[in-house]
Amino acid sequence: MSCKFQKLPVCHLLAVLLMLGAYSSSECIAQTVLKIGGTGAALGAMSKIAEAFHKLHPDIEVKILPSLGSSGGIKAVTAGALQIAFSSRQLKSEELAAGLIELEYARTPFVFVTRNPVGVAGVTSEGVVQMFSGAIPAWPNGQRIRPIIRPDEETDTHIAKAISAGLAKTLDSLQKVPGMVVALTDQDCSEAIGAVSGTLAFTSLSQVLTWERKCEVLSFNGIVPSVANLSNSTYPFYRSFYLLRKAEAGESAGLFVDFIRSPQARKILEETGNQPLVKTLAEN
Amino acid sequence: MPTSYKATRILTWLIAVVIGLCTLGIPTGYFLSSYQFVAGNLEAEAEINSRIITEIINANPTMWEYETTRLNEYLSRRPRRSYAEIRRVYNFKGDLVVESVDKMAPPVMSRSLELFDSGVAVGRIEISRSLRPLFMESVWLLLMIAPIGLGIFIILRVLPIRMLQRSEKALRESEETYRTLIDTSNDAIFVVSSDTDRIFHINRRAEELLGLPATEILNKSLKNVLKLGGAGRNPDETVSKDSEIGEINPGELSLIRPDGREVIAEVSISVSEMRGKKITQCIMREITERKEAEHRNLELQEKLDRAQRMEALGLLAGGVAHDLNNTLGPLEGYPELMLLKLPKDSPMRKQVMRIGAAAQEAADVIQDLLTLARRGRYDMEPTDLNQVVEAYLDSPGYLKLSSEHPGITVEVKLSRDIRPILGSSAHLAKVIMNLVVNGFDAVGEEGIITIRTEPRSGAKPPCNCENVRPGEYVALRVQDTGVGIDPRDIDKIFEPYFSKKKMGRSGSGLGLSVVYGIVKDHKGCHDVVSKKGKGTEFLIYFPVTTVLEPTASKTAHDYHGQEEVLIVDDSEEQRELAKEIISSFGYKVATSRNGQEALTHLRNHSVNLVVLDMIMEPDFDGLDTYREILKIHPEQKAVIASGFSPTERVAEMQRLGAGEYVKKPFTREAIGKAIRSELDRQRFTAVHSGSA
Repeated sequence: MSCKFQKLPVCHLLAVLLMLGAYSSSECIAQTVLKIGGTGAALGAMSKIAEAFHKLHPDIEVKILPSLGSSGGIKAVTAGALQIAFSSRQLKSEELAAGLIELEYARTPFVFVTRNPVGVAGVTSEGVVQMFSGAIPAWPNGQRIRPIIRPDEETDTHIAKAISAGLAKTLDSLQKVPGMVVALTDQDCSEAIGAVSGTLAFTSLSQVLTWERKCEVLSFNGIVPSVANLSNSTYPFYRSFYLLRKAEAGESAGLFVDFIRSPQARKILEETGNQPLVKTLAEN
Repeated sequence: MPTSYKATRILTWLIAVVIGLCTLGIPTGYFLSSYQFVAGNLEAEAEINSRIITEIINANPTMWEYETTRLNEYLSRRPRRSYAEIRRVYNFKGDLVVESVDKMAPPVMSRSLELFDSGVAVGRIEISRSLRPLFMESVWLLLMIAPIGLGIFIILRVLPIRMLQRSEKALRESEETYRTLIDTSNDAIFVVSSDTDRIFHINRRAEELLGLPATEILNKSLKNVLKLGGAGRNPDETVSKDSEIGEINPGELSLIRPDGREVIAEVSISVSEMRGKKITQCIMREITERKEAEHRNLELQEKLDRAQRMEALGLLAGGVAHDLNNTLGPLEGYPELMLLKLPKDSPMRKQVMRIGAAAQEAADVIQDLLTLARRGRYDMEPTDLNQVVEAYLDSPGYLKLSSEHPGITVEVKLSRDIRPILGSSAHLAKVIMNLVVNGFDAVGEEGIITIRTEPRSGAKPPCNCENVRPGEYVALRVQDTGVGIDPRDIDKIFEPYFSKKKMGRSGSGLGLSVVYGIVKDHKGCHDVVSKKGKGTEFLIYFPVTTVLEPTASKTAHDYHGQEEVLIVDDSEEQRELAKEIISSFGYKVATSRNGQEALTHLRNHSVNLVVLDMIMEPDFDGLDTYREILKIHPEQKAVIASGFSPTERVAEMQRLGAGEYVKKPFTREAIGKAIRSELDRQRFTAVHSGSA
């Protein structure tokens, strides 16, 4: 019953909206829907940007789809299912051949995280190998270290493997370990980090900051993974985000890309752990 | 076709089919079961993956098909041990959304499931798996099983067949063994079904015993097959269907064979059970020969008994004859000397001649006794039996006998083809005389007596007497038409004093006994064929001799001489009689009362000849004396004189060098002949002359 009372205003609201929609479709200019989607790591920041964009362009509804992954986003935008896709990898030659336009709009630090404080503030390049390999089985607080890894083709996995050969080898071997938690998407990874105690995982700072649940970001070799450290190149590991669209994606898509260049959007990106890369129109 | 060959072929095929089915069935079964497993496995995987993808669809119903990363990740997940697979996801248009492809070879098995968004099909997942590994596993399984199957086939093929062959061989050998035992049995075996009374098995001996082929015996009853000759019951009458299992009344049967021969068989009947049915086993052992042998043995035993009786009687007769001889010696000898000294016109000559004739008759009786005892001394020489018969027919005894029986005709049929026999004419004449006298007595007043001689030769002995060899014989047949002999008496007629007739020439029942003894001493045999009321025929067989001519006899005047003779005899009468007889030939005669006295004499004198009595002191007889004489005069000549028949000691004495044996009481001619003959022996003469 409580559910019924709680859902009642929503139902009235939906009914009103439908009526308004019907009226507007018949009497007013039709609202443009801009479908965007792609890698989950960018979803948090992009949602905030989309919200800001809609306020600026109320006639354009930005519909952000659930995480499709970089490849899914590229396919979707290639197929015309999306007007804009955001990806964490560069386009391949055949994807470029399909007429897609690529724009690296931000970078976010690659981070090692744990769910809750475990008695350490950071990890080292050697220590992280030992922790993933099981040579160091537990955190200083005694909690068991439970690694979470990503699929081998994931961008985060590529970044992690680039840290050291030892870590790359360890991650390769962990792929074959039965029962190992392999988070398929960025959302899955965040869910797993929040659900498993003693977690040791790697993700992006943007994902951490836009995720509802809190987790502990660990320094790496004594350097805190922040946008500032990334910007000044103190922190070397990062993940790039690209905006992808077709040339014929439409005006609304162009407007959205233009908005990404706006100081408002840049601010949102910085607040969500990203280093904005595109210059403003003014800067251009 | 042998049973084992057929069984082997069937067994081989059976084993091959079973092994083949197993060898092919196991991989096939493996393939089929694995196929089902793979199919189920694929369906399960499709189900699982469809559920996962459905969750993705539900989370992002409009853009799910672009979540390739996640779809790929899910599709690329494989069980730890899995076959190569191709997993594909299609949208509702059938366009490929994402795929996870492993390299694999055909044939391929696929399973697909539709993907739903709130009950609406929006796509399809298809999982394909190559059946090549399964197929190859099945092939490998076949390749692994095939040698095992082959090995099992060989083992099953070889072992049972070997066992089958061994058991069949053992069965065949056992059957052969029993068949051989039965077929080679000396007993005739008939196996009869108690239900049908029919003979269903016989052996070879059964055919031989009955003289019938198997076809005329089998499937017939014993009653129809056995032709009984004499005593005994047909086995059919002994056994019935209700007979208990076991042996029944063994007995003897007399059977008549188709060829007319009668055989005697010992029958043993046993009832037993074979395969739940009663059978009668009738075993017949032919005992004809055994019965005949038993009969012959009985006859032989009777003859032996008779011979022993004859021997005992002979001993008795011999002893009596010796004593009588000593007594008769003077009675026989002195009349001859008295007649030499009496004037020819003396009225005493007739009385003396009667005394001598009586003494001669008594001597003849004694001679018969000695002959009976087979202790008589025969002068065996080649003899023509026809001459002996003819001489007898001319003898006064026969003429007298013939004249006393005018109604009896004597027919004489002498074969001129007979060969000489080795015999004593005097004794052979006695045989003829006794048989003829016997015939006259049997005929009585009127009748015919036939005397025949004829040659007889052949492989078989001419009669059933024992110890007679096949060869050439001369048969003497004396046949009469008299009263015949009772069959119960026929075996006793040769016994001494077994007589049912009046006294004959040889007197008081010794006639045929004498014949018996003489025939034996001539190595002959006899047979008697008689029929009561019809007459009797005596058949006497003498072996022919290879010695050619009879020796010529000397006349009495040839025996004179002037040599010195020593007479050694413990009987004074005999010693004096001998001295007078030998002196009458002109010899110079000395006497000694025993052996020791003779030795004393000979140590001081030498004589040309010693006449030695054989029977003297028990511990120093004629042989002992002669041995001692030879020590004094190694080439001393001697003549042996004794009232007994020649013994081994006489023979030993003759081997030492002594001369002829003269039976006492000896006639003047007998002793004269013996002395002269010994003195004239060339070897001794030469040696004696040399030593003198």
